[in-house]
Amino acid sequence: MKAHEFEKIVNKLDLEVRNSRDRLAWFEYEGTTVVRTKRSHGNKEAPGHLIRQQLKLNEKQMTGLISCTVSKDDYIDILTRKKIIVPKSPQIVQSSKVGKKKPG
Amino acid sequence: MATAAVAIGPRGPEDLKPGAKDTEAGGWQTALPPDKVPDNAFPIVAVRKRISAIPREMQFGALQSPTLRLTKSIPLKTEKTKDTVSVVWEDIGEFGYGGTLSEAIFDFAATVTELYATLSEKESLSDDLLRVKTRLSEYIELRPR
Repeated sequence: MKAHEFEKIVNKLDLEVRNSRDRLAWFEYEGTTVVRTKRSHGNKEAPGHLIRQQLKLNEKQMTGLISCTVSKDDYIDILTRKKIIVPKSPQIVQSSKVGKKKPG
Repeated sequence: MATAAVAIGPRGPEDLKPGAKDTEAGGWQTALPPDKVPDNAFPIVAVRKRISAIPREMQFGALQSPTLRLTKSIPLKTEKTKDTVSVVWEDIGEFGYGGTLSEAIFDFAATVTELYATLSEKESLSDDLLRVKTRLSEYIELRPR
């Protein structure tokens, strides 16, 4: 994987990054750190299949992420279906919406 | 007493030249009929492919951190592509890479050190990263001061 492809993923998924010896990237959802990955700063091509595995994607999904067919919402959906993301209880969301309703 | 070399390969003595091939079937043949092979003959193996200097598996045991130390070695598998060598800790899906095996190992050491520190800092982790954190703590601990 080339550096610009990695950066495309970073930007698309709004990954939290830290430049240490490597460029470390973390995906957070609802305040929880979900997955991590990295690439080196040098111009060596990063092992794409290992980055893909860290991002919990199959080859098709990874290709889509680098191109334009898989969005951040799609990625969240993929991780949710794989139970890597556990969404907060939907009942709590519904009750807070109900509470905001103006009294009729 | 003379010592004879026994050629191994499909065509006999020609295969003793550098770069000679072994048999396609993966077996070996002698240049001499079996009943003519002297007792003190020694085999010469002609290898078809270059043997990689990079092992397929290795044990990592040098964290090189002033604050952390390993409690046991980490099993790594190596992968080689055209111009990159990677070392992979398959259990947690962590890796290091570089132009050489040494660079890959050095990168892995830095990555694991950073990962341990970061996972310790993060307050909320997914189940997957919690498993990684637990696994890391089985191999890495803080150095006593």
